[in-house]
Formats: sequence, C-alpha cells, structure tokens
Amino acid sequence: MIRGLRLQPRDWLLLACVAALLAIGVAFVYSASYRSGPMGEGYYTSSPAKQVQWIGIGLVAFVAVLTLNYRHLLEHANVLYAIGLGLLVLVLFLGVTSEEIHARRWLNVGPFRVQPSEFMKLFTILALARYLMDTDSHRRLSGLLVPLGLVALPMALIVREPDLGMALVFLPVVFAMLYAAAARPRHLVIVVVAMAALGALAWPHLRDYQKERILGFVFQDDSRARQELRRLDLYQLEQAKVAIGSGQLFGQGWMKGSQNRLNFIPAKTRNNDFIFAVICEEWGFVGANVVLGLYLLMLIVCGRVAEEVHHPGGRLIVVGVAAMLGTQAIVNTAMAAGQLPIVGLTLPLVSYGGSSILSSLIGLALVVNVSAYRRVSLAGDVLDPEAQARRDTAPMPEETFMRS
Amino acid sequence: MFRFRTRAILIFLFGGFLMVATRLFYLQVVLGAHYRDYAENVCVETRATEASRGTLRGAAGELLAFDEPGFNVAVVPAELPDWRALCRPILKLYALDRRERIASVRDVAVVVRSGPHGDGYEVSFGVAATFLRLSGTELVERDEHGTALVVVPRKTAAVVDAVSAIVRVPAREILTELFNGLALVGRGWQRPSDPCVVARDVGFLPAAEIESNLESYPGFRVAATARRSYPYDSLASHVLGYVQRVSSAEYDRWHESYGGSKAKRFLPDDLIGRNGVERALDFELRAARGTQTLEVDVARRTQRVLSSVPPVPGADVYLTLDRDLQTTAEMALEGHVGSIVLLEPATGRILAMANSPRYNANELPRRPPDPSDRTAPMLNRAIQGHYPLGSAFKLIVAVAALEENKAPAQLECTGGYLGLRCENHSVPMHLNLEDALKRSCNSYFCRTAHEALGIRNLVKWAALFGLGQCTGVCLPSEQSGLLPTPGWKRARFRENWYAGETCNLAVGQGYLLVTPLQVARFLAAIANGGRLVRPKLVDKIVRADGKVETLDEGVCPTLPLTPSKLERIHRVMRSVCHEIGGTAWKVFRRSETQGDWVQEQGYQVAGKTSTAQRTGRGPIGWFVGFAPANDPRVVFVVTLEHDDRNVHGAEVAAPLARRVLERLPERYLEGVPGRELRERTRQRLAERRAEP
Repeated sequence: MIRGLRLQPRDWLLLACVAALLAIGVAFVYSASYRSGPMGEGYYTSSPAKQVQWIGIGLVAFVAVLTLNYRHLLEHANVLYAIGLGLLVLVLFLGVTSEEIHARRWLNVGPFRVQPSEFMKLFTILALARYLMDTDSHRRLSGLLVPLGLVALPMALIVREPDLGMALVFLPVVFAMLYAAAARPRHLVIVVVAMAALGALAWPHLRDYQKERILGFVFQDDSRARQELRRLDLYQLEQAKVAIGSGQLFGQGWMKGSQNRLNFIPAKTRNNDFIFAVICEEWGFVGANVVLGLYLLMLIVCGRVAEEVHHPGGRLIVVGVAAMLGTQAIVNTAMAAGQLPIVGLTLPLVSYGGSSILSSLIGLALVVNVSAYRRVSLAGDVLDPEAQARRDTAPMPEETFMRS
Repeated sequence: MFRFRTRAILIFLFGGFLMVATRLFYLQVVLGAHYRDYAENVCVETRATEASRGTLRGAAGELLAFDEPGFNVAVVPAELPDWRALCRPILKLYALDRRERIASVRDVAVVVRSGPHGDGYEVSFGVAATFLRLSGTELVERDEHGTALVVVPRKTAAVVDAVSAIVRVPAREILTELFNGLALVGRGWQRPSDPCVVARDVGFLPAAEIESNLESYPGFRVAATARRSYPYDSLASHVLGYVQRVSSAEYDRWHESYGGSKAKRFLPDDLIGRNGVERALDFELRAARGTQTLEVDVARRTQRVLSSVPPVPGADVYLTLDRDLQTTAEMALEGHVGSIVLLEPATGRILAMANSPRYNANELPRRPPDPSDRTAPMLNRAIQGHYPLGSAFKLIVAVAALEENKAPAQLECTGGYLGLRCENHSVPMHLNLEDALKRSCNSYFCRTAHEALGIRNLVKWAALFGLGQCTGVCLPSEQSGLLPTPGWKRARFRENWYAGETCNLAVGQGYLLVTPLQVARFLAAIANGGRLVRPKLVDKIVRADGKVETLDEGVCPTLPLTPSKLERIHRVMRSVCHEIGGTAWKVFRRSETQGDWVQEQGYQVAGKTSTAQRTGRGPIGWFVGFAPANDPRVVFVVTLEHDDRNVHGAEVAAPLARRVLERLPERYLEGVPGRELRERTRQRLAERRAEP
C-alpha cells in the first residue's frame, strides 16, 4: 500500500459512486455506439472499447495521484499551472480538430488525443488553492483580482479554441473556491454583475454559432426565431426531448431506446454531450434520478471531506473539484433536458471521452488524496521550513474571520 | 463558517440537480405518454409493395403482353444545383397556400420567355392574385394575369436541357413534372430528398447514359420501374389494348378503392388499361398492392419488418387468339383498311381479330396517334366499325324465307325491283332461291322480302341472328350496330316505313349497320346449325394463387332452324366459291398464280361475297363464310373499306380470305373428311418422287 495513505469509509463510498458511474457510463456508451444500417444490419463503433481503455488509463493515473501527497502537488501548483497554460497556447498553434467539431481543442500525443483544457481545470484548482490558502487578501475586493486573473488567463485561451462551455466551467469553480475561502459574498456579487456587463459588451464578438445557440435556447418555442437558428441544434434538442420524454417512468430498457438505436439523436453527440438523453430514454425517470443521486452522493462525500479536513489548501481542492464535477453534471443534464443552451460539456465519468474521464478521475483522486492523507506529516513541509513556519503560526483563515 | 459555506455550496448544487429532476419529471412522467407515442410513431413507416400486372397470353400460352423492367428518370430536388434558389419561392407559395387556404396551387405551366437575363424557363402557377404580396422575393414575379412566375435558375435549366436532349423529352415537360413534385414537397407530403419522376420509360440507352455520368447531371438519377411490353409490337394491338398513366378523373374515382378492392386502389402514378383486354379486364390484371409496416431509422432505412401484407400479382389472362392465325390475318390485311375476324363456330372462340391499320403499343407513350388521321389506327374495326352489310344480308332473307316457308320457287329478274337495280347477272333470268343467292340477285330478295316475308318477319330474323345487338365480347366500347325497324324510323325521323326501305334492308343497305363481329356471330349460327354463340375472347383467367376462372358465357339462344333448309343455304354458299358463276369462284379455282383450292386443301369453303355501297365514299367489300363447308371449323369475316368507288369490294376481300385459310393450322382441320385423303395422296406423291 501507499505509505501514509489510509482510506476512510467515506473514501470507499466515494469510490463506489465513481465505480457505479463509470459502469453506467460504459453501459450507455455501448448502447449509444450502435449505428443503425440498412435492413437492420447495424453495428457498434469502437467507442466503448476505447472508453474502457481510457478508464484503465484513468485508474492508473488515479493511483499515481494517490502516491503523491497533495501537499507536494500544492507546492508545485504554480509549475503545473504554467505547464497547463503552455499546453493551451500549444493547442492554439498545433491543436487538431476532430471530425465532428470544427474547433482546435486537441493535441496529438502519440496514439492519443488529449484535450489540455480538461487538465487545465485541475491545474487551475490547484493553483487557486495554493494561492488562497496562503493569503487572505481576497477578502478585499481588489484582492479578488489575482484569483480571478488566475482563472481568466486559461479561460481566455480556451475561448480562443473555441470552447465556450469548457471555459464557463471555470467560473463556478472559482466562485465556489473563493466563497469557501471566505471571500465576502457582496464582493462576489459585484464581480458577477461586472462580468455580466462585460458579457453584454462581448456579445458582438461571439462566433455566430455561439450566438445562435444562445438565441436558440432563449427562443426555443418561438417558431419565427427557430427558422433563423441552426437547424441541427434545434433538431438535437427536439430529439433529446423526445428521447427523455419517451423514457417515461422506467424507460424503454437498456439498448432498446428507439431514439437512440434508430439514430434519431445525432450519432456524434449521442455518446458524449447527450448521453444523459440516452440514459433517460432507456432507464426512465427512475434511472435518471439514480444517476443524479450518485452525483449528489459524491458531492455530499466531498462536502464531508472538506469539512473534516483542516488543511486549508486541501479543503479548497475538494471544494474546487466538487464544484467542477457538480456544475458539469448539472449543466450537461440541464442542457439535454432543454433547460440550458447547448454547450459542449461532458457528463463527468459517464460521457465518452478520454480527457474528460481522465481529468474527472484525477480530480477525484485529489479528493481521496486530501481525505486519506490528512494526518500524515510530510517531508514537503520540511523542504520549505519557512513556509511551514509561516503556516504553523498563521491562524486558519476562518479563524481570523471569526475573530474579526 | 467554513462548514456553513461548504454546505451552502452543496445546497446550491443540490438545487441544480433538483431543477433537472423537476424538468425530468415534467418530461417523463407528465408528458411521458405523449413523447412515447411520438417516438413510437416517428420510427414506423408503412410502405407499399408492388407486384407486376398480369400477363396477356395467346391460346397456346405465348406471351402477348407482360411487365418488364423499365427506367424512369427522377429528380431529387435537394440535389439540384441552385435548388434553394429554385425551391424557396415555390415552397413559400405552397406554405401560403396551406396557411391561408386559398385556391390550391395547381396548373403548373412552364413557358420559355426572354427575360432581362436572356432566354430561360419560367414557371407560371395558376394561382390567384393573392400571391402578389410575395413579389418581395426576387424570384417570384407576376405576369399580367397575376399568376406567380418563378424563374428557373440558369444552372438548373442547363442540367434540365442536357437531360432533355438525352431522354428526348421536352424540357418543359421535365420541368412541369419537377414542379408537380415540388408541389408535394410544398404540401409536406414529400421531402426535398425524395426523388420525383420527371420522365417515364426512357429506354435503356438514355438511362445508361445518365446513370454512368451522374456527376454531369446533378440531382438526376435513374429509377427502375415496370413497363408494359408487347413482344409482338402491333400484333393484335386493338384486342390487347395498352396501358397509360391513370387520368385525374379516374384517380379521383378510384383512389380509395377499385372494384371494391382497397389493395388495388390507384396512386397518381399508376397505370391503367386502355382499350382492349387491358381495359376490359383491368381489374383482374391489376396487381393488389401489399403493405409493409417497417421500423425505420432516421435515414428511413428499414430496421425491422413489423408486419406485412404481401402484394398479389395480377391474374394472367389467356386469350383464345391463335398467334399464328392472327399474324396471318394481319399480314393479309397489310395495305388495306379493314378487319378480319376468325371465329370457331362451335364454341364462339375468336381465333383472330385483325384490324388494319394497326398501332404499336410499345411506341404509343412516346408517339401518340394523330387524332386527325382519317384511317383511325386506334379503332378496333371488328367491334367498333359500323358498316352496311350488303348482300351478305341475303343469307338472312333466304333463311327467313325458307323457315317461314315463303320462299318463291322461281322468280324472274328483269334487272330491278321497286327501283332497286340488279346488275349481278345477265337479265332477264329465271331464278330459284339457290340461283338467286349464288348470283346475288337483288330483285329476288327484294321481292321475297317485300311481298312474301314483310318487314316484320325480316326484322325478326335479323334480330334473331343478333344484328343490331352487342355480341357481349369481353372488349370495351363495342358498338351495337343498327337494325332499322318501322318503329325505330318513326321515333327517329317521324316518318313511315316505305316499301323501298324493306328492299334496301333485304340487300343489306339503307339504314342497316353491322360490325364484323356481329356478322361472324351470325355466320357461326348458320355454320353450327343455329346456335347464336357469344364470341369468346378470354379463354381463362389464372390467378396468382393458381385458381383458374372462366368468364361467364351467358345463355346462347338456339335459333329454330331446320337442318335440311340450312343445308340448302350451305350448298349455295359452297357453290359461291366452287361453282362456275359463283361470285367468289375465280378466287378458289386454279389460275396462273395458284392451284385449285380443293385439290390443294382437300375441302371446300362456304362463302358469300358482298359489296355494300356507302354514300360519298367507296364501297365496303365483304367476304364472309366458313370452312370446311361440310364440317365448319372456322368462320371468317373479311371486311375492307375501299376509297375507290369503282372497286367491286368482294374481288379484293375474297383473296384475303383464301390467303388466311391456306395457312389455317392443321389442328383446326383434324378429322375433316377429305383431308386425310389429301394427306395420303400427298404422301404417295412424295414416295413416288423419292423412288427413282
């Protein structure tokens, strides 16, 4: 076993949730990988096999992350953050587009294609945690500039790809972390209002399809506006809605959903962005709520970990990861159900996609790491006695808050 | 503090999940049934499955008409160059049409006009001026009548022109079909990606040209179809008929069910029989459509067959026509205008029904007949030709006189009676019935009819022999002819019947009109001892399941004829052909070009010539009769229309009869007395020739 790592019952619960979601993911990626053909001679694509491969890689990475103490990672968070930024810049120049999506989001690494923005989320969480745990300047309005800048940099690069959905995920993460790190709510509200104003100014600079998607969401039921909008997105929304609805209470049965099997939900988004529609169709309201419940359980466990861990960096990592996974799950499912505009966000652990699986598993590995390593004293602190001394003497952030 | 904040974040996230779950509850539980219903319907498609139309076959089973693969040229509107520019204004027209429920968009007319950008095709729609509002779009204009005009984009017009040159269909017809197809798209009955047929039955070579250069003709493709094929081209074309696309009136009548069968109902592109047996037995020949309920995927590819009703091919119709005899008869008629009917007197089976001029049913769709053609090639003269009968009617007078025992033993012909001249023999001459019939003396029969029989008896016997009535043969549009009676004349002209008209009738002139088939039937009655058979054209109908049906023959009335008296008539008819002085004697005797008939064939022919005058036109030449005379197997009726007034019709008609009878297949003559004798003589001759 890894030295110093002692898994708690809550960690086992978390791992069970992860395993269940991964299993459900593989099952539905398999179901969604069916391509109907003439005369009923359909076939399955290789995506479930690739998904299993990626899960394997993800588990290796999971264990690898567990071998490193999160405090080491926090020490080197700035390096990781810089590497992540470098990769994002690289993507802009050397990135490749996928067959389906005309955006440069991927890097070819040997036989694999990775999406640096997925990993950048984690690096940003680490960097934020690193920054916020050492200071309480963010309790001032001007002090919010540094953490927001830390987030704005990768966001800007990701928007350039373009991948608006991915970029927007950074926002709830940073707000959750700032909030947990005792930033003043009123400052956060000011920031939100300011950003909304900026967003309004940025509207003319959005890509056409991005505008259309947002319009498509706003004018979903206005027939005149519909005609002007991208037909594919509307079609996807419509088919997803039919798929979800036709699942009724208990679903049409795994591998039996007609919208899925008969290709009504477009094949290219069926196993990633819209996999929740397939789950709803084949497992019904009950099954969909089981999936949502698993996410919620995962988040509750994360909350427990955050509450019980006293290391300020560790708990911020947990909050960040939980906010990331939770927001993605909510945005993805709400999008499939037609409550939010279509953004290309995966359903963590379930959707097909190597980088998404990998980053979600690594993120959860960080949570387990924080949870299981908490009582061990570390060499890392010894390596930087100054920081250790500072941390030992400094009061915990919330304590200062309570005192004041 | 920290605990509070993490919990707040958790509660916030929980709110998100709750929001999604609420939405799911609404979609899946509240509206679930609706969506399930929709999802189940959207992937189910019912398609029609086709089977081929029944074949038409001759007596020996040879194919006379059958379905073979053919090629249509279709257009997929969505693949046309500039199709959006082409379709948008039209789709808008139809969208408006649907919404505002104004007069339906129809009457597509393609006109070539020179516009500001040079000559091009414009399509005008016969729609009300309501559409003027649409003139905002650049492609919809209106002309002076307020109809909407759509300019066909240049690229599309170029492709249509190219295809038009290949398939030899005018570009405007192709465009008309295309816009009719777009109308279906506009009404939401078809998708722009569904092909619509623009040229039918284009032939193999044009189809191959298009199919092998598809990229040169964007949007066009070749679709397989069934085309009706008549392997002998014009053989028996009037009897067989042809097929054509169903007319809109017929479609309106039968688009729900046809003859009580829903499976045989018509779709707008279906073919329906026209003329002949194709029309008369269209219902039997027509295949019953099957249906397949399929589960389809989003591209409408079949995934599963949920249920299916197989189509039933149409029934095969076996005709009584003998292909060889029919060919012989048609060859004999070549160059004449008229018809030849050959009938089996015992059964009424029609062995041949030849008409001239003919038409080629295979070419008909591409080369429709000229309606102004005075020879009327589409007319089935054997059942639709109205002709005066002429002296062949004397047979009826003779039979009537004999049966009524009113035949004068001897009369003197002085060259005319009641103003009707007799120029058929030297005058004056004393004649009995046999002589008069043989020489076709007008005076004898006029006087007998007028003085001995009277018009009432005459009409009674003519009606008994079926003149003036349809024969009930299984063919559409049969004409009944006209048997004039005093009552008819009163009703028609408000005039009394004159004695001269009785005379006219007695020699088959005047108001009397007959069809060749009626004459064949009346001769069959004379030949078979008085049974007025119903001419039979359809031998049997073999259904797809193997069940064999025959058409109801009805009751054949038997005429009260005395065999000995009938024998006298037969004898006269024989003498017409084989005794010196008979009107057809010269045709059957030995001459420079032909041998003696009896020596060659071993049997005698019974016949009667007839030349019927028509006012203003040349005469009708008849040669009617049966063969062999002593054992009738075939009744023949040769009718020829002459343009030249000086022709004595029978002189042309009788040789045609001989040419047909010479080629009468042996199977019709089995057991004819004298026939074996001839065979034996022939054999002996052949042996003798072989010996040295």
